[in-house]
Amino acid sequence: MAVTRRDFLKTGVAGTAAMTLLGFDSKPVLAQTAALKISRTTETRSTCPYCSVSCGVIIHTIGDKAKNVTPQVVHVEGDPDHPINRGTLCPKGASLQQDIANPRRLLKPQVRRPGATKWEDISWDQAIDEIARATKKTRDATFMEKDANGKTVNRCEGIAFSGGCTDTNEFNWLVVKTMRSMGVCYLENQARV
Amino acid sequence: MTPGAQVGVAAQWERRAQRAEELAGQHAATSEILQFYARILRLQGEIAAHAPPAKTDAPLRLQLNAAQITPYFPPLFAAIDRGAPTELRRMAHEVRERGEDYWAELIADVIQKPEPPGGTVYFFARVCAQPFAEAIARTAPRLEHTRQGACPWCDGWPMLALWRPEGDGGKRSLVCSFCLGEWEFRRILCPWCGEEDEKKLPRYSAEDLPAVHAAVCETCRKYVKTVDLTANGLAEPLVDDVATVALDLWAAQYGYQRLAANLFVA
Repeated sequence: MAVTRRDFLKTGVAGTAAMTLLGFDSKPVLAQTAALKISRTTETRSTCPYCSVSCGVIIHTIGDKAKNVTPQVVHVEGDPDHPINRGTLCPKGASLQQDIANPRRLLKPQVRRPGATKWEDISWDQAIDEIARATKKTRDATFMEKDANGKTVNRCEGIAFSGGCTDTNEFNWLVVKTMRSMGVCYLENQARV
Repeated sequence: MTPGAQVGVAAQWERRAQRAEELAGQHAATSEILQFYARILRLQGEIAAHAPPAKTDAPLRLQLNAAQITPYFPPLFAAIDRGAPTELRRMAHEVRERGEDYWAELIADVIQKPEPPGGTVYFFARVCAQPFAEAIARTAPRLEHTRQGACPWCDGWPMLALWRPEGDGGKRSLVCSFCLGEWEFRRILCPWCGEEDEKKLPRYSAEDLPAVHAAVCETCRKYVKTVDLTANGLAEPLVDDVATVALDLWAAQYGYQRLAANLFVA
């Protein structure tokens, strides 16, 4: 096919258009490009764990897929496309990023003794030991085998358990199994979403 | 009616021109381009002021004809003569020599194709057709069938994406490369190939270029340049896009192709 001068004018420049910038000096732009610190962010849709409204969120994770780099959550945004919240979040939901990455997260058990004003660090072994003793003591003291009408109830009224919204499904399963096996009725694991 | 398009036509173009002048002072690398773009934007404002009232019963592209648009080529050539790089001046000279029939041909190409045709030679037709098309996009009827990701008024491909504040998040909309119409579009979805896998839809941003990023699709290797109005409400998308052309060059170096070209880069 013969290429006419007219066609050449239309197609000839197309290939290099990105680099010629209409003939403007591309050197300063290329220099700027070379110096750019580029970061790669992915966006993941999820559901806010806190309450039963179940607002949609978008989790922003930074990381360049390199093997030696741990991806880091940098922002949690209300999902603007979600029909329930249309981008809005309550103050708790808006602070979700700190639920995922937080330098103040406790990494070991702590205890505040009766009458004390400060929390003290204790070992895991000691914590489990103390919790087991207190649980046994309370359960033995308050366990009710039969109610006032002589009906078998096998319940432990001296213990209550309160969970947290950000507990995992697996953790909640264990909580229910453990508490029910001890006869605990006052059980709230906050697993509504 | 496009979201955020309630302001007067002339004021809109003037605001873009002012933003170009403002950014020219801030972005050393693109300063020269932005100063030139400011003059082009003012010229486009004048063209927009003369655009005939749009009909509400005919599709946008059918309302445009080359005869309306060719009279604006000479003022554009004059503006280019007053200050533009040699290559563009040479091209303007050559296009001017070829006469109105050739101009009409270039305009027809721009009007007919959903994707802006590449090449410096189309710069003239795109500059002159844009204000007409934008004026019409505000009143033209929505097309009954458009492809996913394409403009609902003219079926053109999106040149830009915006994040507009919605609640505490950014609602995405796309901006048409032809008529500058703006329509809402879901986040985490490739407008070109429909990819929905969030692992394949990263965005690339640079510290030095805040409030813009390239929303990339690893499946089709295309990207949409995004201007984040939740991070900078003063941004004028058309202008901020040109000011941050370094990000486009970065994307090109890594083999990503821009979904639709702006006036300055493909």
